[in-house]
Amino acid sequence: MPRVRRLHAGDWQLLKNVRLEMLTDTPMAYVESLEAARRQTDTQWQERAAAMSGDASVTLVADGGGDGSRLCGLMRVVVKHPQDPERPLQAMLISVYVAPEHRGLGLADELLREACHAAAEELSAASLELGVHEDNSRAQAFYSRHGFETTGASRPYPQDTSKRELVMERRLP
Amino acid sequence: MENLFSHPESEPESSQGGGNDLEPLIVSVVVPSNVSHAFQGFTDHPHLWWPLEEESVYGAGSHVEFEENLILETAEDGRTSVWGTIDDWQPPLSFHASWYPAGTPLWSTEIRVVFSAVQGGTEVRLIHDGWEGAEDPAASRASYAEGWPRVLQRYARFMGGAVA
Repeated sequence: MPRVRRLHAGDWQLLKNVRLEMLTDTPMAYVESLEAARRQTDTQWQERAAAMSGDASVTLVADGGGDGSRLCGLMRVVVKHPQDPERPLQAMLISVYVAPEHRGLGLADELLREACHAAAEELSAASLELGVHEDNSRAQAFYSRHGFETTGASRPYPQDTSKRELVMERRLP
Repeated sequence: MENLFSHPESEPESSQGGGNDLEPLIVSVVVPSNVSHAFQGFTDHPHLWWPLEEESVYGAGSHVEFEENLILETAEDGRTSVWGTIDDWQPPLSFHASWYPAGTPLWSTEIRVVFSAVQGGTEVRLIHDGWEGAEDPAASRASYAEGWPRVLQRYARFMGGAVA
């Protein structure tokens, strides 16, 4: 099983590679296009990796390729800010990716467990929210297994507004 | 900086001024690029031109990007702030997003940014609507009436445009 760890600022080249891989694999999931990502300079990737790896961030990656020469998984937890101090803090799960050869082998489970744990422990979030394409029943089943439920809310899928993105949410311990 | 686009003290007349004038706020600039490049400049590299030192939650040194369907700011220490959620993405012509104003997590506004060819380049027009849900709608609208021109002028400068 690939090791799950935090992204470091020095991982910018790995981040760039996995990002281009994600955008190639599921271009519909991102408003950023593959071409746009390719146009980013090394300096921009360094800034991006630095922003995603600050102490208060939760960016999880999984080392792949045996020698850690690539990333085979990614998940990121962010918070909506500001939030109503009267309500429990809500975090959002984004940038979910598991390389095809690692799917169905438990890596996604491990990443998600760690994401939930970090959201609760480090960000003090009371719930974690995510968006999933209405036709992606496999992802919905995966999230359901981890305690996520559809909230009834949905929004148009930005790249194809005839489709909806369903909001799923899970309370955190 | 604590609040995105919150400049209440610098716009003292806003709270009472107009009162019920909650029409969509429309701000535009013309940049000397074709539509495709104008859209790319806006959405590929917002962190290169957005005036984060003035118009952000975490201030200078933070990073803003279009990530998945979010417009997301990340502070130097990694804290994050979701500014908006994109729900219509029509490159290179327009995008539409729910936009969460500072300090008001219980309501969202709507922005649409439209890129259209005009003589001399591309007009980038931002339409910001949905003020009614705010605690003080006129003040919210007024703070954005002040903030958006600054943001778009910075973008126009980045794109090589002359700024009036």
